[in-house]
Amino acid sequence: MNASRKAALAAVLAASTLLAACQQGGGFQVGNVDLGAIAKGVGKLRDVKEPEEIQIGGSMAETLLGASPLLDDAELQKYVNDVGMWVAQQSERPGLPWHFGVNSSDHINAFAAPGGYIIVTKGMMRQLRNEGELAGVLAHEISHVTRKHHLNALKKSGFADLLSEGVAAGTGSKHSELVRQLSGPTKELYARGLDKGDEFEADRIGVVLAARAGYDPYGLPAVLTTLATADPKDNYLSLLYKTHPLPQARLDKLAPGLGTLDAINAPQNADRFQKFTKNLRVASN
Amino acid sequence: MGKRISAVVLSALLPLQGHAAESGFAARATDLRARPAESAPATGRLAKKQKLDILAREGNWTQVRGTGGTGWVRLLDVRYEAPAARALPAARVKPLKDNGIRGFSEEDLLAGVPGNSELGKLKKYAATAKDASGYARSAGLKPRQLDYLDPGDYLSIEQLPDDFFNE
Repeated sequence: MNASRKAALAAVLAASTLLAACQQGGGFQVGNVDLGAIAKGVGKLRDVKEPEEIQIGGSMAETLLGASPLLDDAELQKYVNDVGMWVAQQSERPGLPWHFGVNSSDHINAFAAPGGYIIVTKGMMRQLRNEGELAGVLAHEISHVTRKHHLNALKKSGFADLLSEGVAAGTGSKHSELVRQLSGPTKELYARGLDKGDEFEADRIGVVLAARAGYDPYGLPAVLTTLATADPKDNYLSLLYKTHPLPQARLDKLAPGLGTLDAINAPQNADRFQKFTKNLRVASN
Repeated sequence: MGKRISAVVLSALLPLQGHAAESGFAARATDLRARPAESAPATGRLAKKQKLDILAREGNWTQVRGTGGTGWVRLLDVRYEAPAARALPAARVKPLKDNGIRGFSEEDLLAGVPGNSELGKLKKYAATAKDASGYARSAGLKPRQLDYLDPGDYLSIEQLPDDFFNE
């Protein structure tokens, strides 16, 4: 057992003890915070089953698509699904119903929702040079799903009861009702972003997923070396910059691990990518 | 011998792929190498912020052209020009809402009105695992076994794998 595992184990044991104490003792107050209630919530959260996760994610994706609809380009959409599905097959959750879409926004960003829903903006697609870079961006988003980053963030921000009682238990309830209930929390979450640690983790997992899929692992870093020079005041990047660590910080975090993947060289499939994205590069689109 | 030299000169002048060179700069001072390998001889030195044309990328190496000639440097040692310059000027000067397409700023996100039809469309485009695998192999992609990278710092509780205690 190495040092980081020992430290993590100690942290988990401490947390479990606290959790048990809270559950047994009832009211365990620290200031205004009722740890007992939180412990109860956390206990319930572990019960979000995969079908519920997928239904929650679908509702969240509906809200994201409500802000910017899908681009009307079936060939491009199918292409992105082929690439994304292939990368997702390299993850621990290949059997999720993965869905990938390009929306109509000129802003530069990409989003994941629980259960396998991933949306990339048209603006982000325009920044990419080849399929290897696309695979890198999709792999980062796939990692958010496999590690349940958004689901955990929803839980942490006090929607535990909504998820475990109202939403998750009501899988028979209408999709539209679920969308209505989750719309506010979804908007709040995607406007605020995940913890920075989640973003670094998605980078670290993403480069490996892309490499497992047969791409070179430097697709995502190549995108980051492009975004690193952007003007932080650029409106087209404002939400990405607000919700993610700066590209330079992400590259710095990735660099040591990437070194271990140096020997890999692989196809970037620039021609196939250019063919399917050519409509994005005409001014009328 | 003459033939060999001309081949070397030619490959140094031409980008490896059929794309126009992009502009960028050196993120830090670094050696310019003759080939995409750490073991390749250094053919020059780049100063930090030195402007470059970035001609191609092979894995973690980029082929660049600067005042000191053409050579290879690590991807993480270069920066591509700002993405603003890569986006379409026509799309950028036109207010987004004029053509009825919303953007994805924070304001757009918060003002969005979800509807059922878009999710239905998204589902229509889904690929099966079999299709995706065939499509990948048709482009020469070969799956590889690779472990995840060492996080290099302590994990938070949320980041622990589900099977953490099973080992």
